Amino acid sequence: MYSILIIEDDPFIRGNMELILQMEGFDVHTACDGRSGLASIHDKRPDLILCDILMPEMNGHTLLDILNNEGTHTDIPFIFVTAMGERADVRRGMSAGADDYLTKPFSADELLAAVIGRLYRLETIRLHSAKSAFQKEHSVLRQQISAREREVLKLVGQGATSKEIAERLGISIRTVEVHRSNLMKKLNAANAATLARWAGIAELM
Amino acid sequence: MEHATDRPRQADQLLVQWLALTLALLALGGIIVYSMYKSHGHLEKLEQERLAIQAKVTDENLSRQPESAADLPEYNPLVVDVSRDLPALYSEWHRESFIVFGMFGALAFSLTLGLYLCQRQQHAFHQLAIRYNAKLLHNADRLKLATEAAGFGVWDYDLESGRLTWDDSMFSIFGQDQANFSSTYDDWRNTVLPEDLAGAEAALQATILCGELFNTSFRIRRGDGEVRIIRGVGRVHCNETGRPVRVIGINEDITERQQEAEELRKAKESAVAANTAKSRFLATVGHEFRTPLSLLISSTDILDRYGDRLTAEKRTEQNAHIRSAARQMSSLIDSVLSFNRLEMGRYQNCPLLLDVGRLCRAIAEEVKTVWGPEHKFHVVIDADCGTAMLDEILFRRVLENLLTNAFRYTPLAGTVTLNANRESNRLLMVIMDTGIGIPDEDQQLIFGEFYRGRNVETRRGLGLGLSIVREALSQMEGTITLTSRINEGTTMRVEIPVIDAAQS
Repeated sequence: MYSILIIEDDPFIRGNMELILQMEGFDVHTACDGRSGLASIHDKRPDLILCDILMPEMNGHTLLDILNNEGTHTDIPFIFVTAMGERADVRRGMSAGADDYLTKPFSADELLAAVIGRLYRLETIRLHSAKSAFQKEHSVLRQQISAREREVLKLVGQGATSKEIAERLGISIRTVEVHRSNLMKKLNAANAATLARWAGIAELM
Repeated sequence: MEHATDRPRQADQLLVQWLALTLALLALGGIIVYSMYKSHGHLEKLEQERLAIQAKVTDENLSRQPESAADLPEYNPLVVDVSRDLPALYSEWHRESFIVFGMFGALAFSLTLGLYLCQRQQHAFHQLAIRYNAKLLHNADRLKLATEAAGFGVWDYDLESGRLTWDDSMFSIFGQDQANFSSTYDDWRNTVLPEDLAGAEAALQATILCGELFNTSFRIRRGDGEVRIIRGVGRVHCNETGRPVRVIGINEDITERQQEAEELRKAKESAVAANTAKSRFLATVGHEFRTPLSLLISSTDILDRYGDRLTAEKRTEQNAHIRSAARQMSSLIDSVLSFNRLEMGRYQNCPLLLDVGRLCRAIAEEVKTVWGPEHKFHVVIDADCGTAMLDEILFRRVLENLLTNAFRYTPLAGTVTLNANRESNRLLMVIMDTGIGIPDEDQQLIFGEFYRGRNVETRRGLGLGLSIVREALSQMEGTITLTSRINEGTTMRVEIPVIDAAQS
């Protein structure tokens, strides 16, 4: 199970992000500012960090700088969550080594797309070394999943939202939703976390 | 002018020399008649030279109009060395004598021509002198006109005699009486304000010693006591040895211009500041809307996606989030609009008879739901509050903003207290928190719009709350005082004069 750390000072937003990710099968931890977030990272290494920029105590930029200096956590995908939506600020975060950013307000779909996209990339790297170990999964994908469904799966893995997948493949959002639910059923994926893993395996084929 | 009259005198001398030469030649006429028929080669040469000179006079002098005395060519009167030339003439005795008649003819012609030329020249010089004079007068008039029209005064400081000369305009600019003017440097020096004198004198010295253009401003006290700003521009003039002898320049009164420039600069600054404040305000409003919007979107998403898997309690919580988000946004809109309305003075205070205790409790409950679900909150409303004539909208703005601030700037573990009581026709409310406090240096400024304490860090807010409170209270003729200590808390005391319906 992937563990995700949410660092966000607004209790309502934090609670809702936590709930969404929990419902999608992630192991979620939370912190209300940069300082306690850093403590949490040291305590238990998460697979992915979602971090607000404007926070009391220690802001997101400072936290990211500290992580970069420590050097031991730079491979953890880091996504900025910002209410500022200012390009300069986002650019600063990205150039400092953030992998992605989410602008408030965001939908559950956008949150999940960003999280899955980053985890999938991590998964691809992890799985690459053990390609042969996934023969069973590959045969499942080959036998049960249609070419179109595989395309959808790969796009899900790339962090695309349903709307974006629909646009990319020239089909309706409704059709994408049907493909998604078929994929979940066929792959016995109860949630987004499992789907991200399958997307990683599909990429290896 | 002096140069122009010199020239006709030179022309007179030329004429005299010409006549003397001609007479000398006539006196020797007999010998010449007798013997000159062989000598015409020499005389012819003489004649050629003279003609060449005449040609020079004609071409160079009369054909063009000299603009100044310097343009006029110099003259070398023809001189014949008779003692040297005549013996040679005698030796040419045997030449044919009829040439002599031609000679006389030529001589007579040249005499007439010489006379004519001298007259012409004199006339030309005369004309030139008239034009030159006229031009000088014209230029002086024009200069005077120009300096007067431009409000310039002209000054002339003679460094050798120390004499200072002012024109009429200078006296009117400096408001000085010509009768009291001693024509010295001190006449000027005494008018300059002491604090500007050093700068002005340094500039003048730089002009005199280094030949720099004098261009500086200084303030003077006019004869009537008025202080004016003067701009001075001048240039130093040196004699032929390069020693500075005079400084000539102008003065103008630039007080109004300076004031206008200053006013323009201020107007521009305040416009820029207002525009910056507006941009910042819009950015803050945009930012402030994002948080409740995030909550609204995520809560509706959660209910949509996972509603069937959530417990009833969790669903209620999500609904509460949605309501809270809606309330936050509505209060944001209200802040912006009420700020605008109060600022414009368009809001009318319309008091109605209200139950003070009930209203206070209702507002307290609403604010706590949105901003302080985790804080300790004590509400103590004295039963004596009773009913009072109050404008509900204005009253809400005061209490809502003060309570919102109390929650916003108090850590989650802190406490917020609201006390309200009544002393006959005064309603007293105390809002107390254990929050971050307001720095001493911000306590005066904090009621200004868009001003936020320097210790708010990343806490949300528009910087409008207290300015809305201040405006609303002034409409209700109420007052507010604050006491605050950093990291200990803030206490706001509000006093509003109220009357019961019976008294109204």
